[in-house]
Amino acid sequence: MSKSENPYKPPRWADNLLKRFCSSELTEEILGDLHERYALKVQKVGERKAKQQYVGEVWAFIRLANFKRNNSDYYSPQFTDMLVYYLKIAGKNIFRNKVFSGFSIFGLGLGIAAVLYILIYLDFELNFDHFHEKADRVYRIETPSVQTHEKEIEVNWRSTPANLASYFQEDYPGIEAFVRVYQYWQQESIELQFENNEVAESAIYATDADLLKVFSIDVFEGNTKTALIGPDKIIISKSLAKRIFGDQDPIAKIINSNLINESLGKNQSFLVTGVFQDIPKNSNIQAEAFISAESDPHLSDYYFNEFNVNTYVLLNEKADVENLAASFSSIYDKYLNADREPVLVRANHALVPLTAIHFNETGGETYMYIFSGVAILLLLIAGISYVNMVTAQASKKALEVGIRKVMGSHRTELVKQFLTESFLFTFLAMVFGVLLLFVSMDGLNQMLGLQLGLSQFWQWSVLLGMLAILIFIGFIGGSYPAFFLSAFKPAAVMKGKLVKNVPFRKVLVGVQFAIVIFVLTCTGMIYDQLQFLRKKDLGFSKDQLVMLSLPSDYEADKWEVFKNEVLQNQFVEAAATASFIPGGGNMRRGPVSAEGESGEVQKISYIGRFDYDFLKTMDINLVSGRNFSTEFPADVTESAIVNEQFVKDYDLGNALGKKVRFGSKDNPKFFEVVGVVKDFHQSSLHSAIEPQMFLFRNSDMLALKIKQDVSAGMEVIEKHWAEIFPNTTFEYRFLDDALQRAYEADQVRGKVFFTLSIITIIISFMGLFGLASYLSKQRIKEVGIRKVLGASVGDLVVMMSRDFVLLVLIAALPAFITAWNIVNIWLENFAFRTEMNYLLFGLVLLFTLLLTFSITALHALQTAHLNPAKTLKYE
Amino acid sequence: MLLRGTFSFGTYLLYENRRYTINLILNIDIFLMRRSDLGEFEEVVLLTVAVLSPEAYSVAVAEELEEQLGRMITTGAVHAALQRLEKKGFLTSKMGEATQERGGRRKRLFSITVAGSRMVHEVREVRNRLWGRIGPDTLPEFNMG
Repeated sequence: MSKSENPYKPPRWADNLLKRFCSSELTEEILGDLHERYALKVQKVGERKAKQQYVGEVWAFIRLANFKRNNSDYYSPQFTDMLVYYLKIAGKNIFRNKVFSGFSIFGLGLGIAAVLYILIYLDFELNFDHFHEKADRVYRIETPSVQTHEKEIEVNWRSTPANLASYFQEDYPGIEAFVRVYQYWQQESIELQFENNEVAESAIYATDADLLKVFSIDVFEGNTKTALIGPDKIIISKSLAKRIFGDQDPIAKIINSNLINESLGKNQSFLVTGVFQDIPKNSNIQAEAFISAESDPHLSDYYFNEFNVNTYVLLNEKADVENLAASFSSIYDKYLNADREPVLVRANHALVPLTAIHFNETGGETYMYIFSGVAILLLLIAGISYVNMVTAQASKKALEVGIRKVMGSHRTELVKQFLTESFLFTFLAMVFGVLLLFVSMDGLNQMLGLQLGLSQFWQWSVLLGMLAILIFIGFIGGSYPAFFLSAFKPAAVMKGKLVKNVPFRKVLVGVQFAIVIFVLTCTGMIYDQLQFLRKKDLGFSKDQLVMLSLPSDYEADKWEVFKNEVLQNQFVEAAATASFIPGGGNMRRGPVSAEGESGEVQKISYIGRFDYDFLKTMDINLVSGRNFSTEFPADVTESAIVNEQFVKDYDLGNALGKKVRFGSKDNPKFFEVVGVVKDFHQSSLHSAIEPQMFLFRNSDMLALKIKQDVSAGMEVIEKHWAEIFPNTTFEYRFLDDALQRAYEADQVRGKVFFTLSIITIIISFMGLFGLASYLSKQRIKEVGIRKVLGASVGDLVVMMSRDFVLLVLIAALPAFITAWNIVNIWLENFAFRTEMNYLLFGLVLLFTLLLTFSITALHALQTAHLNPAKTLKYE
Repeated sequence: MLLRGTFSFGTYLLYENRRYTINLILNIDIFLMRRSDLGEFEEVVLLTVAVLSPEAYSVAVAEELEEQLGRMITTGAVHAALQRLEKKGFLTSKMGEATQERGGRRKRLFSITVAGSRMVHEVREVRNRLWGRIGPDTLPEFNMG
């Protein structure tokens, strides 16, 4: 008797609900009871009421005793019961084919390691300064523009005047605390001396006592409240303490320094009042020591003229950030005394959140996107490569599927089996990848100039990322056998007929080739630009040039003595002083006007100073006019030299003899242009050549042109140094090295792409290797027949490699276009770019083709060399 | 009672060598009710089974009880009581025949075991002894309506 003959049909959903929850061995009697009772109810109270009561009836049956369960009487298997078995089989499969498994795990692990590294890097960058407990309320006061009596000038300084902060607490209740972080000394590093131990350290800052209130700097020895109150106090980092004091307790010890206290006429020394844990690497404030601001002998003299301190403020929770920043300029209206500061009228300030500072300074979102994109690409290529490897195993898998089906496996069980296998595989690869990362972390950090630690690894974001990778790769890797192979008809599969999903695989391989070509092209283009930066003629000679800085306690005139001294020896060809490093970007800028200039707007020019020998030493040519010369004594105070760009921008025509002035044309003090130099780069190739004006003066940088043997030359120069500047350290830089420093970030990017391209090639061609071996095995019989019919080995190799070569060609175009566009975003950072090297495209294509061909041909050759008599024997 | 978690989708509850897959936490009291004495409702159900024997199954018992007690009795409640009684050993069951109203499904027929018989007798005796000891005029008078 079937259910449909029952005249009274209770609601269907209730039955379904019950079926879902109830043990299958109980459903029969329960549903039977319910239906019978329902029929009775309909007769007794009518259908409507019966239906209402039916819900209650069903509900009464939903109880734990009726629930699905496994018990010894009626056992129904759960997925978890099979899991152990699935894992066992998966493990056996992995061990059975060690070469395949090894390759896959290595390739996938490599990809995962790279992605994890990027993930850690992103985490590091995005969490810059987040460790400060009050980070969300801390802001840096910056100065986007200043107002002089004449006009508003955009300056984008990150600093403020030192005395600004002191007005805060009186006028702004919204500010809880402020901290100035600055250096009141000129030298690059300070020498700290304790007993006989002398240590040079550059990361030292003067700061206010509230530093420890605003920033989470962990002072573990000493009193946090009083450590920075009063003059001549210092707190030092744990590692600096170790360098200075070794194992001694640093607290209450006195450190001598080479800072001169001019008013007292002696060196400053500091009392150690605290030791703090080293500041995490992802912080803007990278200091090894802080000196109390009251140690600064000039602290009370600062006026609004010098913008030399970084000011951080801690705001109230309720503070209105926008309005607060805007209202800062009223400080100038209120306190600025025009007699004391004639130029500045007002400065406009902005509040930049502490956590956004690093993000803004490092290129912000663009690089984050690029790196995320790179991570996704890597993941994709690792995934595709893995899928290719799995596909290569498809014939074996298909047989397995056939036999399992014959033995009674359901399709869902096969899906689970294959997914388990894939997840196990991915898990192993991930373990390998993590180990690889742990081992190579230091090397990577060194190469890329980053400071990522393993400590950053154990974080929720990274671990979640790992989980996501595991699921993503595990799923896409397992889905091919799980969903395609499991659908096969056993009889067909066991006879050797495979369903071929060629288009799917071709797309995968095509995408992979596209990524490889893309990465290679990017690497090539970046390399081209980096070479260009290295080789570009900067307008001056940078080889064999050594730059020296004047020690802080000497006057620039002392250079004359030193110059004369070193020029005596055979190693030094020329020597000159200047106020800037050519190409170093440290030339000052300021408003300059010229006689006969065009336009109304106040123009800005770079302003440099050098002596008679500078142009000769640097190999800079004059276009017209003459160099500063001792024959014209007026040169010292009245002459100027400008560059070609200056002439062009100020529209001077013939510049010689024209008058130039600082500031506006009303300035009575003027200089006469006596010469025009050929343009040379004042800063890195990121920026264009701008107007430059040079005046005569002995300045604090000394450039030495060395002849012949550099190291021998430096030894001699050091001797002279010791004679003339006793008790100072001899520090020098080679100009070409110093200039390359401007491209450090670019070189890192170059290295990133270089590493990336190697990883990409390894991973993808590993997948290709697997796929090619699979395809050639597939065609063993075909090849046998062709051979019998007279095909040569060459024909066969061409036949089997043709598909791949074609795919490379198809993938190349979109890859080239994308690479071109992406690299151009990067190139926009440079005012000077290398010309497009079209040969590069050809080279990349050739390289990819060659590699592809050699891999496929290798397998094709193997197959082609097999004896047809043997391969055709079995059917 | 032992809770065992696995890394899979469910949680097992191991109880007296049986594994219960917990999908929803409901009616937990079922675990606490395994005592060998007889609940009031169970007693009535047990007696009804005796009355209806050999045609005693949950729907029939529920209908009978509804008539006798004059309130709505769900089949589920009866079914649960029958299950418990069977677990305690007072009832035994076998599958009976199918009917059209049941949509072709068989029903489970219950009959009383020796232990069940002893149980109802014991209960009856306790009641009789108690009745016998109630003094005359102790119970207030009322009209049996």
